[in-house]
Amino acid sequence: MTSETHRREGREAIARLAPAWVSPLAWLAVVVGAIAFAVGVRAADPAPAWRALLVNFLFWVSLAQGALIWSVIFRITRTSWSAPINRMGHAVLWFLPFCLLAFAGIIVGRGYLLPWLGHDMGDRAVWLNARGLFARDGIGLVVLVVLSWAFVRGYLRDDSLVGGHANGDMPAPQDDGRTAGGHPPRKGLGEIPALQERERRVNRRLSVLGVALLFVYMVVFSLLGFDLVMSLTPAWHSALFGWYFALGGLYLGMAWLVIVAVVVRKTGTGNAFPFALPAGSAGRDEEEAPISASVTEGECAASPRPVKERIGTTELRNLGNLMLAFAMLMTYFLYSQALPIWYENLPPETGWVILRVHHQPWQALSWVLIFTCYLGVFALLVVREMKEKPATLMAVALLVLASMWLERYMLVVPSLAPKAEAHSGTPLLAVLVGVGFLGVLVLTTTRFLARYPATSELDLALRMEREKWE
Amino acid sequence: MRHLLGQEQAPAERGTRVTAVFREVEGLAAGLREARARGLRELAVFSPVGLPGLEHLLPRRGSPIRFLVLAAGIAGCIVAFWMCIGSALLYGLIVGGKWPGSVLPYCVIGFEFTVLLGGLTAILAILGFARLRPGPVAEAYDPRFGVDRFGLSVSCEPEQVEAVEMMLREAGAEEVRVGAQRHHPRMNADEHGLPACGGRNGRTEQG
Amino acid sequence: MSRPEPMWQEPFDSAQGTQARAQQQLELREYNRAVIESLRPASRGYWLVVGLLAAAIGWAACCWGYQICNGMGVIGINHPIGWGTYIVNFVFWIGIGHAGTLISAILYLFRVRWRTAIYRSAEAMTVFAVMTAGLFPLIHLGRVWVFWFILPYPNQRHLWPNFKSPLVWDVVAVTTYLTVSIIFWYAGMIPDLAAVRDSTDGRRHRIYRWLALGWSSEHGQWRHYLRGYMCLAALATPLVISVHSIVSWDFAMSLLPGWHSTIFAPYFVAGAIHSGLAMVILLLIPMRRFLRLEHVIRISHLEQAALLMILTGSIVLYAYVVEAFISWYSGDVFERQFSVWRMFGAYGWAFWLMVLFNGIAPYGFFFKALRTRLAALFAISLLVTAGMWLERFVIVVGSTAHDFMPTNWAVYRPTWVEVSIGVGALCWFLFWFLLFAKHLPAVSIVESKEATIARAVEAAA
Repeated sequence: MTSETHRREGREAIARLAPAWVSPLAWLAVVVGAIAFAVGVRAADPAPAWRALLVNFLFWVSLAQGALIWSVIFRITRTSWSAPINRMGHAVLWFLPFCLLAFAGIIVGRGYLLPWLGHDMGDRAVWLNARGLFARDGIGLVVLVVLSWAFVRGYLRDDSLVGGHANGDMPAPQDDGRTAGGHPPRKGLGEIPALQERERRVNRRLSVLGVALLFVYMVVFSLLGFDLVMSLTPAWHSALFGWYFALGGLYLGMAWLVIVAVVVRKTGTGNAFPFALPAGSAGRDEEEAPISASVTEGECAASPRPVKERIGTTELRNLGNLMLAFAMLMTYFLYSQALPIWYENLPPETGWVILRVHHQPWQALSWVLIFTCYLGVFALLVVREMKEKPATLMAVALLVLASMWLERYMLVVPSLAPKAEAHSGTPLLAVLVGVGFLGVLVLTTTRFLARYPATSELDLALRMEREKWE
Repeated sequence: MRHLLGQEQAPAERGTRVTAVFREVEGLAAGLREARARGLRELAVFSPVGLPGLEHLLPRRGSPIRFLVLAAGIAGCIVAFWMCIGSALLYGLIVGGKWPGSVLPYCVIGFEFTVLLGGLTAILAILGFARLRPGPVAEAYDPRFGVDRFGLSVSCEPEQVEAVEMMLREAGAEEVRVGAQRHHPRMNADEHGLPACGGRNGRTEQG
Repeated sequence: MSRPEPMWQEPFDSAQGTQARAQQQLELREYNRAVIESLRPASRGYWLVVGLLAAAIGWAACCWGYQICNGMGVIGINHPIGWGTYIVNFVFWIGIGHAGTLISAILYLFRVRWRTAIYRSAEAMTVFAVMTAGLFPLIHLGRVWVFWFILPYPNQRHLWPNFKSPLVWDVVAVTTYLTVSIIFWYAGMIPDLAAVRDSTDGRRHRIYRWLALGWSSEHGQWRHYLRGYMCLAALATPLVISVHSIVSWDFAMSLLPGWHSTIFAPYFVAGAIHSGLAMVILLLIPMRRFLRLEHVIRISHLEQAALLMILTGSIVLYAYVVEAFISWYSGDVFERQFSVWRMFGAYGWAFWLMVLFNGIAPYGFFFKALRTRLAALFAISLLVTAGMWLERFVIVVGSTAHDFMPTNWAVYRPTWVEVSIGVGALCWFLFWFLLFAKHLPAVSIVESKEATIARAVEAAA
């Protein structure tokens, strides 16, 4: 195939994945965000632009890494129902280097972001110094990105070599036993010992990588929480804050996965690039018959399943339940910090809370937060019907994203600009820069999903193995 | 259904009870479909585990317990906050410059009372709706239904009994009995104390 | 219907042969057989052990009586250490109970398969652990006859407890936990008690018949039962998080160095589940052997619990590190001096043992060889249990022993009275657990069958 054909097929694949207006709009968003940021840093007071960058970095890196960590969790716990979802977690991989770029930007703008810079921090200076902070956080982020890349690559390499194809489904075997793409016929689990051994090795490697990723995620994101949020009020401390920040990432990641799952489900197709489509599957629709053949020894499913069945009511409800669980966890973590601080009434601790709860404009925003990303999402997702309908679940997920963005804003900006007049300009810039980040995420996600099979062979094998033996 | 649970004797004019024992759930499902197709409505189904997958074939569905528990939970939360704030205002002591009634710590009591009242309501509702109380079991009950057999008991007119019996056998029943059976816990039990499997194939007399 | 649909979507392969079906039938009977066999009249050795435990409980009760008659001076707590091993034991035993509720309620909601064989014993462990824990506030009270002062009820003295106090939260939380745990445990047993009822006669039959409440396995009963049970599981789930959080707030609401920390709630919950899982393994290993339930409670079930312990152990280790870091980061001289003393002072040995046993030892379960060998499972679980007791000791006694002023520093040593009561409480717990294991169905007959039958139902529907 020529490169022109590849590019055309790539565009077609993306077009099948998402409506035609998504890519141009995403590009527009990127441009808007970039221009807004550029204008902001060149303004008389560049502080709002840097604050906007920090808020958005914290939000989007949490979201992206959290989504990937969900795939890791599903792999470690050998969750079979998440087979169609895991790839969506992998899809944030290409966005992570952009987050590193944003982190580099924060290093540049550190003078406007770290209030203790240039002050004597006493014996705490060994921790609160710019070089040390950015070194440990930067190295941590790089290690996280490298491990994430290795994890996803472990999946993709296995997919491409084992004869995986477009949708991760089994193509209808042709007369000579070969698939439409000319690949050798897929053998069942029992027939090729070498294949079984390979899968075992790959599974073990992924499990080890996954556990390492989980550990590194907790450490790095706790550090981010302590260094880039808690230290913005140097006198304040909360032992739970790092954990709370890391948990927020998982909450955001789950909401993102819900949105992507509902969108992919709605578009109704998988991807077809770079492998050739199985014969007769172009433009498949929902009326196609589900898998009818049972999984017997040496055989795999004979025909692919439509996306709506792969991401069905069960998967949506499970995603909704996880989102509900994390809404409750976030509320619990918030309460676990608020209660001791309120109870003991110690000035170094209460100042941080009082600013956000008793002074405007933060007070109003705090109430908004309580009734959206904490209790609001809980109240909505407790109702079973909200989790079973894609439209309502997606609406709740969008609410989570919007309110958690506000939450990240509320963590950062009051510490840097407590008085209302000092933070004017920040909200608009933060939103515009956020739009830019969203554009980059959408572009990278769609391209990733268009390029690789929608369901990994490994996850499919796990699902079929579960269903065969349990 | 109450007569099935031993609370009242079935009067003769209400029909004859025919009970089938199935080895497999497919037979039970087939028997259920046939019974419903014939318009037989007084059905009782017995199984060693719950059968939510056959809910659409079964005579009654759903349970109001969830709503009762929710109502009780909400009531518990309200009672807790009322008690906490009320008792604080009773004393009216200002501590730490704060209003006597403080919402933040009372959330703990509110949460626990929600769970407590919800839990108590759940068990009472289970006992009430499932009519669980120390006493005899349902007349059509067979101890094997607690092991590995499924039961379908239908009420029909005396002249329909033979047809119903044939229908149930064709659906796959390994045993059909007509009329009520006195429950003997260890009748034909094997050495482990389990009720014997597939012992009788004929009718049994009412005993 | 409350029952969630199964996770798989492909229909059960109804092309299985008759032989396979017969095999399936045998498996269903086997669960009944195994459990009923385990309830056969106990041996003399069993009753000897029960008798010894009862004797130990009697001795502990005498010690309690001695304490009541002679006052709290017979135990080691005194100014400045007002909370000693009684509170350590209280927190320890409440924590033990949490794994049972996690396994029986939370994993039920997540439809985790491996819990079915072990959750009944785990939930029983919860009930008895909470019963044990509930003894200690009473013992610690000294004048135990005034315990009812703390109960919230309208009285002629117009007295209400202070609902802002963590001690009152404790009363409400532990009472709720005990009540809901007993309800949940008993409700889960009703169908199994009916199966046992059908297989006994004489006096035992009458007892089980009374306990089974006329259960007839009839659909009308199942639908209400399953819906109610799901509600109970959903209610018990937040209890796992809330109860030990509330217990942790006994300490976090104070301002003592080492106690006043926002991380206490989730840290204690993770530690509770950690100790509880270890205790589950410690109890199940001998139980499955003596009751001949090895083919029902398999090593793979214990292995899953061991894998969970890696997660909880990691969380606990994380909390140790973060606490130390934040105490330094805070810049507070009292916090810093306390952290250093805790690591290298009079109880430093307990601190490092706690880190080793709780945080490092569970990583042995990364190796399959260790988590599938009974000896290794038992040994590591024992270390974790001991480590978690030491952690409570370090937290409770440590902070009270070394607070703000040097004149307030002391060392606490428990007396023979406290040790006797502590050991007696352990015997009390084991006593009830032994009675349960031999007289009530220790494995859920119904849930063990559910997966097998559910697949057939899918095909039939």
